[in-house]
Amino acid sequence: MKPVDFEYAAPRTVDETLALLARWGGQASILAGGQSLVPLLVARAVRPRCVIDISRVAELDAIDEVDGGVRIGAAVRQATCESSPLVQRVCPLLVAAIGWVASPPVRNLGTVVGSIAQRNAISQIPTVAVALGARVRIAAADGSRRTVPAESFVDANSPATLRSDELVLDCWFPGLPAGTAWGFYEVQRRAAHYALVGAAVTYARGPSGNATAVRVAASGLAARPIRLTGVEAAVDGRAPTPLLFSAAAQRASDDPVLDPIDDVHATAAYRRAVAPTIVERAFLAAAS
Amino acid sequence: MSAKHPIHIEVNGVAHDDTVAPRLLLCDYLRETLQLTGTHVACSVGTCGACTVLLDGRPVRSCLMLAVQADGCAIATVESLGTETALHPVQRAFHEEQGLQCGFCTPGLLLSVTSFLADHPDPTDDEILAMLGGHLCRCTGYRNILRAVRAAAESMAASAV
Repeated sequence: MKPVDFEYAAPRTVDETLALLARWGGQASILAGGQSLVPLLVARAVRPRCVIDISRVAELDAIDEVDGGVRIGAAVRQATCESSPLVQRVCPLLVAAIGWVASPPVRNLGTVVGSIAQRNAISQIPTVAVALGARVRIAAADGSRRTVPAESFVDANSPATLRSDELVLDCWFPGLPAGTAWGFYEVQRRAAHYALVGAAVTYARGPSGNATAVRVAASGLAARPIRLTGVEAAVDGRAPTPLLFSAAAQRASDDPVLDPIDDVHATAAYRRAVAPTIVERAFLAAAS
Repeated sequence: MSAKHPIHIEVNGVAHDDTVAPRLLLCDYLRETLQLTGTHVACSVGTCGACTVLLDGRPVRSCLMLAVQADGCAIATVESLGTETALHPVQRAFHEEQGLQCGFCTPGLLLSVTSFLADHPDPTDDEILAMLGGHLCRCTGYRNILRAVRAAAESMAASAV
């Protein structure tokens, strides 16, 4: 199929973009890289009356070091982040996770923030955003701004979800302090295909060498990326050894928050069964 | 009908000023408007890689891009690489190593490999395989393609000396 007819606008500023969103009153779609939106247009799964292309909004095409983390604008391509020395230094977990996103040609157009805005339950970047406690900054046409935790933003049932007159400006990812261990791992049916289950982990080392500030998020195990607090608690305060990782990761399959995706790519039972292995491997990647 | 949009686009070194409907995909602009049918379209959802072209030197899926998005950009399609009598080194390597059978996926592969080798003149097999993950080939099992990429890297390195 081909997309149905729509109007197209390529604003140059955030203010112009917000005015367009207000004018189209919920009948516009934002296009950043288009790697999710264009297939939806082609399948006619979405039929916006106007597509607003924000890739030429210079103020959204910036990566800045802010408050010890990186702020990534809504027009920044995944490939740009991947090769950014700043992001590599401040938030290497994000760079590692982007390396699992689709294939290089898709990452050359796809954006980091767009991946979060899509709230896809299996996507790598929202999983990292949840693991790290990233924050999403949103602008509305009336001039108001709000900042919401990525964990709330990706929850379709949360009031933090985007309104039709709002635009995601950027996402701020906390930096990983020196000495922080980080790892990402996922299972796909084949290279460059969708993740079935993915996991992002970080932990610091206390004075005794034990793991502290443990954070684990996983994809594919619910309708959105979720924190696995049971696994975190099982690692926190203990010596980070492969034996501990293996034992703690078992909790990934029986966390009460689990409601694994069941679709053509994998059954819910498979995702639940493979989750401990994926979490364990993310920990092993972090430790190496 | 929505308004058509003017675009200025350079394709294989030739400048084009056109007006296009916003819903026109870049792959269809190349194939139907410019009659550059070397760009192949298979899955139309960005998975298979057959439609890959270079946008300002970087591989992108032309099926996942609107033609209006490419306004002001330079596109290279497979027609920019070589000719039947003077193959591009990557084309020659695919030919000599039998890196294709039916050839449907080949145009996208040739462009990804060309861009990849510019960044990775001496690639490891792992790097090559990671790049090939973005391309589906139903004929070759990829082993000959892997050999072709290695051979292309070697011949391009030799000719650069």
